[in-house]
Amino acid sequence: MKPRTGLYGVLAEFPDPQSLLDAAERTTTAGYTNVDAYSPFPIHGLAEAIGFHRSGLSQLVLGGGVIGGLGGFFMCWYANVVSYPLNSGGKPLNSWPAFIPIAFECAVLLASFAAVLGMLGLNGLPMPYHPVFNVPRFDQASRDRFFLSIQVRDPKFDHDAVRGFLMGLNATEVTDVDW
Amino acid sequence: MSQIGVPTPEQRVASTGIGRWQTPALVIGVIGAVLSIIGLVVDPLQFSRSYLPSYLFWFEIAAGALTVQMLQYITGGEWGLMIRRPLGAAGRTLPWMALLFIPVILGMKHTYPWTNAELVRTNEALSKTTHYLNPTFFIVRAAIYFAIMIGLSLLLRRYARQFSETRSPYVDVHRRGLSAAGILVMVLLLTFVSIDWQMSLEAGWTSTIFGISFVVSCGLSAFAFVVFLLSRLAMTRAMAEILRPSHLRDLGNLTLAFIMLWAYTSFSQFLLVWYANLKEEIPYYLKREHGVWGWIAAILIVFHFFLPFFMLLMRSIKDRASTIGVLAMIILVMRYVDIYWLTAPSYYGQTFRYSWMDLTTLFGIGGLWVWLFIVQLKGQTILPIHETWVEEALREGAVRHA
Repeated sequence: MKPRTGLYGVLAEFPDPQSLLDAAERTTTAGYTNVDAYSPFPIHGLAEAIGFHRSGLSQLVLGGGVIGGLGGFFMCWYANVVSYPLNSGGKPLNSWPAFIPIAFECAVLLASFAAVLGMLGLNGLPMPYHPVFNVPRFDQASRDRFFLSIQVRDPKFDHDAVRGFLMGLNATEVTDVDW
Repeated sequence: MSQIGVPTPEQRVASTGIGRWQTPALVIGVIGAVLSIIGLVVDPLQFSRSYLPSYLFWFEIAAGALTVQMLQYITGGEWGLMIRRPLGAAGRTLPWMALLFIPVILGMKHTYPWTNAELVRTNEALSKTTHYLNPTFFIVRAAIYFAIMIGLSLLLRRYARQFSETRSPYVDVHRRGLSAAGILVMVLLLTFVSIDWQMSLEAGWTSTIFGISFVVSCGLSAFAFVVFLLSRLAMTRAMAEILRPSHLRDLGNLTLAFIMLWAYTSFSQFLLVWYANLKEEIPYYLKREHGVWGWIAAILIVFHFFLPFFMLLMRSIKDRASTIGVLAMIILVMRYVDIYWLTAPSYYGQTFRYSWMDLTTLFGIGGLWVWLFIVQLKGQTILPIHETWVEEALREGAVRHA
């Protein structure tokens, strides 16, 4: 894949969580949608402030569970009835009560896989490179600084307007971020 | 916000209005009791057989409430504060449940096969268990069970009083210590209760998972009951400002856990008995799969497991008082169906029977129990307002609505 070039977005730096939270709320209120926030620790309400919506993870997990359950049951049924019919204890070949624990375990297994892998996938992980790493001060985001970015792909993005807007939110520093 | 931590006078008197259910409950209870007594005179055999499942249904709620109350003292969490007072009130009905146990003792010879000397002589399994399953020891054990449960609920009551007066953290520590030990005691105690009162109905039949299945059923009954109550209180002024969707969601999740545990233990028991296919064990399920009993088993699978399981996975149902209230009601009804399905085939065999006395005893005990429950609940705040978090919530509510 060809590396992308040009401007990724604009990054604003804030000294404390509250000013980031306020800035995030005002940014989404102003109509920006491709917004991201970075903080050294979870801030209560920040996800909602940048317009986070519920992901499709629960549906993925349900799908994994259903496929696992049906698949596990089919596996037992196929092995016992079709592939290797064996009379055990005079029970019918399709002894479904005995298949339930396996089907249940398979449902749990695939639901867990769907949860973990789906979470990683929907988060776009693993992500060894991200444009914000180009900003030297960004390593402060894992210590004591708080950042907010508005991205170029935002339909409302206009370079000068965004810079001015972020300045107006009491950011201590506003930087352009390149890909 | 003049006095921090103290609810405004308006909130202090905000009533749940639960008192207005008191008289109807008593009326239903008395009517049910009178009809049941008529039944007792007409047909003592049928009365005893109807009384036991009805009694077990209400007993499960009371004993489960005591256990869940201790559980929430240990785990903490806002969901616990929401249901603490109803749980305590339900637990304090246990002295009256001890009184209501007397008809079970008096009707023992109609229900429990081990009271039949002729049967005990001829049945090998029964003849070997007489040192445990005999009327005297049965009564002594029941007395011990009730003494322990009543003692625990009174001790919890005393600690609650002490804590609201002194707010001493030591009281809280002691209360948690008691609860930790109490949960262990309750699990063992309810295991013995299940063996004595329910499992011994089936001559010579044993299952080692029966006890924990009963404990889980008690917890589920208690959760379903308090969630239903909370869903009714959600609209009242005392509760509306404080009860949040997240509280109902937590309670819904815990109910879901109990639903799954119930399915797990019930199915495990069935699977092992079915798989081993021993002549001592399998008749238990052959009876319960036959005819109408089999249909009831199917109803249990659908409405006691699958329906609540999938409904409780959905936040849109868990978060709203109106929807989770309906679900809690379904679970409560299914609890009774489950108890009846486990109990009644032991004396009726393959033939399904349901007597009018089953209904009169269910509503008779139920009406009296609900009346006693409201008596215990009334006259105190519906939330333990001396707890720090509730003060905060009240204050926020007061500010918001100022």
